[in-house]
Amino acid sequence: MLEVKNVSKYYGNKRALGGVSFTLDRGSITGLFGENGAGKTTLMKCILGFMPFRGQVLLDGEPVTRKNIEKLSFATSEHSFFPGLSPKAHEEFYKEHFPRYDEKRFKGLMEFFELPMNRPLRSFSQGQQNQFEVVMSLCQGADYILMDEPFAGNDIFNREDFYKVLLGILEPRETVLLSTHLIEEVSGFVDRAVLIHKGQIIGDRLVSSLEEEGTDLMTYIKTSYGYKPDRVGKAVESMTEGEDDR
Amino acid sequence: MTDRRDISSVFRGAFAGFRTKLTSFLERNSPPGSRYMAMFWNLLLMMLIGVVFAGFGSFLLRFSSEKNALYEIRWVPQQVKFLMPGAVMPAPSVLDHGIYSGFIYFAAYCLGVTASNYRSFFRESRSIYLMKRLPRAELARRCALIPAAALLCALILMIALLNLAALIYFRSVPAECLPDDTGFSFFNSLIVFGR
Repeated sequence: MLEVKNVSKYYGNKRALGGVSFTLDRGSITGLFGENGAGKTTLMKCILGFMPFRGQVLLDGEPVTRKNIEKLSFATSEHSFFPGLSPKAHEEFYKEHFPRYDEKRFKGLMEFFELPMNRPLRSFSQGQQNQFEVVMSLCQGADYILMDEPFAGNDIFNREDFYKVLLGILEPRETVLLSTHLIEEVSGFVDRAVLIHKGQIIGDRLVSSLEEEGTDLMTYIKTSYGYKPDRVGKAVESMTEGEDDR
Repeated sequence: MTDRRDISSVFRGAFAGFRTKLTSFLERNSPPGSRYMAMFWNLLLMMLIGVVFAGFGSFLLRFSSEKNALYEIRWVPQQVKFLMPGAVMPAPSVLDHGIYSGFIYFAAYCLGVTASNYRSFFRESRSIYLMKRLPRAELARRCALIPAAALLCALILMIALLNLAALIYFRSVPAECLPDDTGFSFFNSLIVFGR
């Protein structure tokens, strides 16, 4: 279980996270949703211990340290691979450093994405780089896989197929925390939604419970964010007022 | 003829083995995917420029100038150098500063290489996120081990050059021109050519 307890983060005087708490159970796929600057990336970096913060993050009851951090993997739109290395060389690197590295999954996903094995990553397209980033996070052998906007820049067909493959390959011990703007796309894929707004959790629901209530994820998110359905109409009206009289 | 060819192939084999080991050492201890051979050659070049040419070279220039000042030239009838009465050579500790400053420049360069290696994990991607998920020693090793090894080599080279400087000094300065203090600034205990 991954426990985030009252995590706060300030950049100078500006609050990025204000007492965020939630837990991720093993085997769950959780969507972390929020607008730009809501604190999603900061939260993930705090979980990974990349930056100092107030509060506590526990990984199976233990604080995240160098000893247990291999249980966490991270796919980020900023990319965490070595641009000068080929996928083949990355595979060697991961094998050396991550004892639970999944060679079979790597081969399968590389074939699925049709990625070249021997070209340096810097020669890949943005979409291919995103795919490779996700591949490595899934092959590390981590129990908790954090994904921060992993498919920014990939086409929809690619993304949809990937979600299907992901659902098929994840093992029961593997937990995914996925941050994305593509809410509708992942609505059939995540089983829980955590909403973050201005550094605070404003909603945390199981998708199944929403379905039982007869609502969907998109509606829940819009409601939680106080989305006003009539605001577009009002805006258009205010901008076009009087045009008919001319 | 056969023996010479055998010796040559042994040397070539040993060189190839050394080169393989060196390449493997550099690859395993530099930022993954970096141009480690370029880093190696740059360090070697800067070590030669800093410690040997700038450092030892400045000692030789100063030494030669000070030594020439011990003599006066007379034409009797051809050019002859006479030792000036009472002339004293400056102490080695006055002449050896160049050797130390060459080493210090090189140490600063090594520090820069270490910083550049660290910065490489932020270039084109944020591979620092991957490095931070590995044992702490891995990041430090990939950033600093090669510059530190180069600095150690430079230190050994500097001590060897100090010994060479001592050898040159004590062998070529006439005994009557030696100053009372014949010590070098630092590392005196490592200089074997003292008097």
